[in-house]
Amino acid sequence: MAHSHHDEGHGHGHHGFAHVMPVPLLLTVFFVLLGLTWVTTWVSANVPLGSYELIVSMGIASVKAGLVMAFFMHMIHEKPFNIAIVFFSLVFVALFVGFTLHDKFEYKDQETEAVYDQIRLEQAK
Amino acid sequence: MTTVTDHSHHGDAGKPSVGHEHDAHGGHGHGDHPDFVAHHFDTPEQQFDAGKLGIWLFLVTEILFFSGLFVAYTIYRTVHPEIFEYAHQFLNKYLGAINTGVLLFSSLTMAWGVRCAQLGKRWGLVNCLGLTLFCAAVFLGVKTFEYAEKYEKRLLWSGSFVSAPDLGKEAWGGKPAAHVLHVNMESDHATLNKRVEDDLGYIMKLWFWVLMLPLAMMLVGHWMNYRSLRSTGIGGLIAIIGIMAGIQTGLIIHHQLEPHGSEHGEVAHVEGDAHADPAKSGESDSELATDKADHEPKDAKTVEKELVAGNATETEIHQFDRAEQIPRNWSVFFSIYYFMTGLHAFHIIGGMIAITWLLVRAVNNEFHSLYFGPVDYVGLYWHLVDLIWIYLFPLLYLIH
Repeated sequence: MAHSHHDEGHGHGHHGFAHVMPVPLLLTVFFVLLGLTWVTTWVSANVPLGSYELIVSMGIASVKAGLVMAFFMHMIHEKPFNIAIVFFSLVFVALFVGFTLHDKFEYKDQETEAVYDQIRLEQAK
Repeated sequence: MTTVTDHSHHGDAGKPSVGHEHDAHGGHGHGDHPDFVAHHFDTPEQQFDAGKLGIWLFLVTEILFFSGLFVAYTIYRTVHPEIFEYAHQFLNKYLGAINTGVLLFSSLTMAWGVRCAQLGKRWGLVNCLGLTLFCAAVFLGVKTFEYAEKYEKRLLWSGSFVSAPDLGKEAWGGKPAAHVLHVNMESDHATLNKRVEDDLGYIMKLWFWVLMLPLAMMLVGHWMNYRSLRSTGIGGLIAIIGIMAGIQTGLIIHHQLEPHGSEHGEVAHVEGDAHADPAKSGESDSELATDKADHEPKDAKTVEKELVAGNATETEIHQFDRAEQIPRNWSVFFSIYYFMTGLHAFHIIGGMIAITWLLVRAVNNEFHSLYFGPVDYVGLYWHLVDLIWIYLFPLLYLIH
């Protein structure tokens, strides 16, 4: 190969700067993802979890998201700076949703009262 | 997939699979600066890293952009959980799960494609990209079925939400949504299915004729020996066949589920539930209402029975709704559903265009171990679209 100096120059092994994912790893991740999809659907259809249902399904979704990011998106080989960028975007998403939830539950009692008022009004009609 | 391989072989059957000839060609011309490296980059690796930073920044804007919708979802779900609990029943969770699987598989083939590009495996990459494109199209096809079915059942966004009794009338008559579906839909059930099938038959026919365009591109490209045009045509062919396959998948699953009476579509679903377990489904809801306020009308049970039997009058139906069996303004759920899944589907379409572009370049043998950036970047985008669906699926389809 006339231009092997590219490979040697960057010292990342046989494929230049590429981080090649082994096929068995990709397949394993895929089947785990499929399995988790089946689990979350089955649980939703068959197990009454009540208020924990959202936590469980979001937990499973986050595990799936983590697998996709780590292996399919090659984040286990990603540069720390790029990981930081993605991480902070997720921090901001958590802030948006977190503050929304916090704000909502702050007024929960008042809202319940307002609903009762509304119902009383309608009953009086 | 074999189509891609077969057709594209006409162009340059004997060419070696690894693209180092680019390297060599460029190398002769500009010293240590091969063709595939833009002149403002020193090395292939620098070019790759710059592109990678760029795509990550773009993905971050995408994440934040979608987070706005997730916040909207959070607000509505916390303020009106009853809307979500009621309305989610009108989504078919098995179709959602199958679409999740299809998208996960497309993510696998995309990741595998990146691997092929990194190793300079030209036809492996072409096959992987073709499969990814096909799965993306199947996803959209299943979504087409879902949207068509919801359209026929008038389960639309707020403002276009029309009550079920209008089914015999003009669709966009602007009838106010006093209540949504009353359970008295037994007679219309067959009509509804017929309408959905007619719509989808029409859409299939449309796609069949649109199929002529990529077919023509393919033939002209082949005839004029213009490889990129031919590859684009093949990409379009895969996409349209995928959409048609997806529509058929939706129909098959819909029919498979029908005899069991559990998850077959909106109106039918409510019927099924009511028939299978009228006491239970009614009771839990009325109990909910009772908990909220002690205003449960004494005759709610009677009204419900009449509804199930199809004997209820309009007034009784309103009474039924008011007893909070059916939450008010539940079209909000469908506004959120259409906005989130619609925006996601829009991203799928964008991804399909990008993948077709990659397919053309892969057939032209442009990617190799020092130049696989575009495949990697589109791959990252594709995985992000998959990630968003991973969250949308439980949030919309798996509520209880």
